[in-house]
Amino acid sequence: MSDTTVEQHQLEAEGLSIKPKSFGRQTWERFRRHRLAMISFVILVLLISSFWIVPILSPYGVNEYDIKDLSQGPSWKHPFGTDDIGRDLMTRTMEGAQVSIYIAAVVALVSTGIGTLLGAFAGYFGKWVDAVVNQMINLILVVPAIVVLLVMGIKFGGSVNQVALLVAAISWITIARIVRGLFFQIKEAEFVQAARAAGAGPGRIIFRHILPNAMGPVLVQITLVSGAAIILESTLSFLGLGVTPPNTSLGKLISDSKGFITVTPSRVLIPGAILTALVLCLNFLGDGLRDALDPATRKTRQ
Amino acid sequence: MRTNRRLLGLLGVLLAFTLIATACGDDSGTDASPTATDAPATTVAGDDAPDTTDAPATTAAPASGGTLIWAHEQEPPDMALDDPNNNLTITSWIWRAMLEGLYGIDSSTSYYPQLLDGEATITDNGDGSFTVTGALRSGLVWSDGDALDTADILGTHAIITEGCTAATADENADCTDAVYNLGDRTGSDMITSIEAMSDTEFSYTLNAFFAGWKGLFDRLFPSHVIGDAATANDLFPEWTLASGDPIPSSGAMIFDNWERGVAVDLVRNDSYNGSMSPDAKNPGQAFVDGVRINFVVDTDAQITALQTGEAHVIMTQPQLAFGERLGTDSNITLAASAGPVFEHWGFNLLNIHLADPNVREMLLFLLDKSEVMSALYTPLFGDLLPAEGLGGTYWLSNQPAYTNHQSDYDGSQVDAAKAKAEASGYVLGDDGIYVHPTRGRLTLRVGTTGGNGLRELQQQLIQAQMLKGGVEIIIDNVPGGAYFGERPFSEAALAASASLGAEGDSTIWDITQFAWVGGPWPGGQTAAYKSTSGDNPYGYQSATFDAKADECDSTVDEAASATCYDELDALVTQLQPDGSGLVVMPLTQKPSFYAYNSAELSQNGVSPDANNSGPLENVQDYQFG
Amino acid sequence: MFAYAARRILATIPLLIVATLGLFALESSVRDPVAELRVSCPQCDQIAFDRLIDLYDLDKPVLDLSNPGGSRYIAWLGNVATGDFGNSTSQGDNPVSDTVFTRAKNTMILAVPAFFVIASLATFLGVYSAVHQYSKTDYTITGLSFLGIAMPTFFFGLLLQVFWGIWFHDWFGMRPFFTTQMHDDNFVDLLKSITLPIVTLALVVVATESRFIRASMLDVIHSDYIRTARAKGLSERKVIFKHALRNAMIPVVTIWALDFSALLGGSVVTESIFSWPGLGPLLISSIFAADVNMVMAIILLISVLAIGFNLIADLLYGVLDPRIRIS
Repeated sequence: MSDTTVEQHQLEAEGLSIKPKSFGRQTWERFRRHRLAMISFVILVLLISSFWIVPILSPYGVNEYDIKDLSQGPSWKHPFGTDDIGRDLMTRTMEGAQVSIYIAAVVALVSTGIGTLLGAFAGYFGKWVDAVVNQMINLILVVPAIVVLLVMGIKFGGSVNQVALLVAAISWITIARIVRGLFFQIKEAEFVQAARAAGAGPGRIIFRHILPNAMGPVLVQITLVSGAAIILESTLSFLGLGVTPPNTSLGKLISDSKGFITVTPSRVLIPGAILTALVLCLNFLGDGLRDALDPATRKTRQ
Repeated sequence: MRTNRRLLGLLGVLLAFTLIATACGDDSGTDASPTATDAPATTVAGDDAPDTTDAPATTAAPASGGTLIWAHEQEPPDMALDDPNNNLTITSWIWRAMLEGLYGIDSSTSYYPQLLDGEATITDNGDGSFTVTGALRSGLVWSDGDALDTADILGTHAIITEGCTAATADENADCTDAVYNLGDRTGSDMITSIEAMSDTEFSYTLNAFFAGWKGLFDRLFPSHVIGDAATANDLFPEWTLASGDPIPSSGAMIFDNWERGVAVDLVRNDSYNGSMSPDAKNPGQAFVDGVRINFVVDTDAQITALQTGEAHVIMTQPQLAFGERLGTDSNITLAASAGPVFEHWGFNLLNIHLADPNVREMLLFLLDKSEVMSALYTPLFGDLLPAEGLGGTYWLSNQPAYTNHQSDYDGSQVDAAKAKAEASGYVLGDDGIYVHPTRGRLTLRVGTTGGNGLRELQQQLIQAQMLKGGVEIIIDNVPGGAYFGERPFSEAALAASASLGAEGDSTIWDITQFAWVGGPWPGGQTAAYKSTSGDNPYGYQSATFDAKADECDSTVDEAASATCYDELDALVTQLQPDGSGLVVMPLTQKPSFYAYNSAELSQNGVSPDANNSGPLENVQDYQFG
Repeated sequence: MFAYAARRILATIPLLIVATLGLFALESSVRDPVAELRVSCPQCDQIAFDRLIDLYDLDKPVLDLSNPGGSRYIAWLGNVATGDFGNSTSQGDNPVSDTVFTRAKNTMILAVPAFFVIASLATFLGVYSAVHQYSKTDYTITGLSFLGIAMPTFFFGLLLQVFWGIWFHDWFGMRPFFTTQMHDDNFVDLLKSITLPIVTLALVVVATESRFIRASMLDVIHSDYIRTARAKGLSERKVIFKHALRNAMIPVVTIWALDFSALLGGSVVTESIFSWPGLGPLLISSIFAADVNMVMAIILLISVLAIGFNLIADLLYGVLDPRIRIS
């Protein structure tokens, strides 16, 4: 909290800053210096936009099949090959990647929403509100996530939205815990007390004063949760509880074609590589964001 | 620093704990070893087992011995055939190696006398009842040396029907004990009397004609050790007698050991009576010392196991990748046969669209069965099955009485389909899907139990075919096993079907896809379409069908009976003049898929699996060398 | 400390009850045995259905507060309280505790060596990275850790299996590793069959742990007392191993405890890929078979492991770090 001055000194010492800059600008500058995160960000943007652009340019429809071209390896006609009923795998892979990204986005949105709200209330109000939220978190921690996912997956799985909500249902905890901790800290800060003294209600204090100060770590978590969501979805697909056909996802593409790994390895390796690259970039991005938002982590903690 | 000492102490405790844990782990290893050594079944042929390696190593003569390893994904819940939910298939497949019956079923789906000495005869007593007379082969023995004689037939009958014979079925409603062997009571409960004239000669009387009489006593139980149903229910699950010995076998293998989660071991029956199957290449005792059924849950891992020699034979749900992977491996031989299982779509006639015969015909015009065949089956199974797909259900394409009832709809006939839709007042919408002024958009859900890759591909292919003719198909699979209970066979759906929509909820499902098992006597499925049946979800009720089904079931003459079933089949697979019929759209027979390591096996026991009998049907034939 | 532990354990009991009730209800409705019999056996009669209803207690509701004695969940809970976890419906009519015990032993054969591999490898990588911060090796280790976290376990396991099972199955005339099942006839076979599953299990855990250890180590290296130790002129080796490492490992103990409990609970994915007869595949097959007693017993075991090790970790933390006192 009093880090700002320390940090200013450090920046000055490094000859980087003379006049004060806004927090956002400082963050952006620090983020830009994190080369790996920057590269990841660019790759991520390129990858994700290709998921939407390639199917438009592709001459093949997602569900368009041609039984004369079954299970082909990569060729000029079909750069990623074709699947068991002769659908163009490049188009399908992009479509599957779209679904994976969509699931990651829904999970990020829903779990951030729920996690932030519950964490904020728990941290701000404490007492029984905190106890209730804490018990909800513990409830999900008591039984391992994969078990909950499996049992609920059979019951409620299937469509893309259902799978996304399932994953979100267990992903909000991390965010809730972080936000709760931050609120406990920040609510004692002077500026919050000042706001309270000025007669601001809890709603105003939570959303206008504390939350903006807690958004940094939440932002970091969003990237990590999205990455984890993509992996969880693929694991569900592997266990046979992913999205139902004709929808597909990166995870489903891998598990559908894992039998072909010795015959046409590209069918497994391409979606596998895309999935790994996506998650890798998201994690690097989160790492970079963390450093940029909280320079103290790169230095000695006092 | 005190902390450091604490840390060291902690590491010490952790280390000690893990050492104990490892020791326990090793214990389990050594626990298993004695059983492993006294059962030759656990040694891997061609591996480092001293007692079996000489078989593949010396190439001088076709050698006996070795342990056949069959990798399979399903572990039986237990060895009793009493709970259809727990994948009975695998249990009955293991039974094939251990128990034989009066008649067996060969690769052409016909009966052959197995324990019988020649054919049994059935005679009409003139009063509606029928008597079957036959004789066992002489000198038959169980694996424990006890004689296998007519006492076992009587005993088996007592076990199956205990307290529930035709005479007593009405007053004695509690037959729970006796039905441990599900399905097998059908026909057995029609037996009014049974007697043994000698050790080999027997006869039994049925209160009416039962078309599937040759299927009765398809497995005899050793009555000298299992006297009643309660004992059977008690001992079958672990297949072990109170003395600790396995239940005696009449088949080529004897149960030996079951390490749960890992493997079931069988050993050779040295007093095997020999197989009478026309498919059998070895009429005597088995060549191999034993069989180990390894449970490899992942089917792709089974392929890997086969390729690496960790398994010798697999028989599994075929997936397209298998053909490609194994087809290129010169050590592996693929074998497939037209199995008795067939895939079909059943229609909910209470659906607002499907109630219209024009819509049902439209779907058939749009469905291109031959395209499904050439895309999904030919690459894996070659031209084993008719290229046009399956057009009947009671008789399958490899049975003599089979006719293709749906040949009018062969191929993709988009124009004919559209004409049907337009005749019923459907108008093509902007998005290419037909819309009806009162019924709405022509959208139909098709569902099944999720997770079967080949079936899901089939659904997607048909979905794309239907789309060409303006029908939107939504795949509505439920993962796990919940589909049937939640959709077509839910209480509300069955109630709607029974009351033709007056009660219950007829909108739960539209089209259901599943597989049925046919056989030499196909009487079982008729119940699904009978109006009195509680298991008819289709909203189909036809007095004509009911009468015809009863007629077929009581037709004595085999040829006449076959024709009758064929006509019965047409009632549900073809559109009838009154607009009824066309309740079912058969798709294809499901081929059985085997693969075996032909580098290690010089002879295999894999025979065309016409009766869903599994890889142990001719287990005596397997030979290393 | 005992009072603290007792309080913690008591506090988890209501949580466990709520969690098990929810999962029990869900799992009980996963499939409908009667409907499935109707599908597969149209000729079966009411007697057959009654038998299934009896076998699965389908005539009783999961929870009926007006008639607790007739509720499946209450009956189950009562039995569990007396140590009876019920019989299986998918693994023979045997007590589920027997099956779970056997499978847990098999899982332990993987989990214990895996834990040692993970702990030592992660410590080595994490410490090396921290000591050589911003060096090429540090970047490589960090990069590989990120890769390990980003790659789905099943994808990695599949690659390993195919690599060693198919492409290199005949390496120098011998099979280096088994790719399916547990071969425990002799020690070498056991070693050959645990290697690939352990590597698969280790990937993600080593990646996350080494990241954590690196951070913890960096924290300590930059602390005042290490600076003091250096200023006193202690050798770098002594500073790192005698002072920094020991203190950096204190928070790691928590992570170890949690990871070890997770390993002991069985891995659904890894064990399935390698057909390892542990708890993971049993859990999956039981969930799909609606074997409620089995599923609940496994869940209880995993939960108790997690809760127990969590508690142990917290207590140890208090013991190891005198600054933290648990009250």
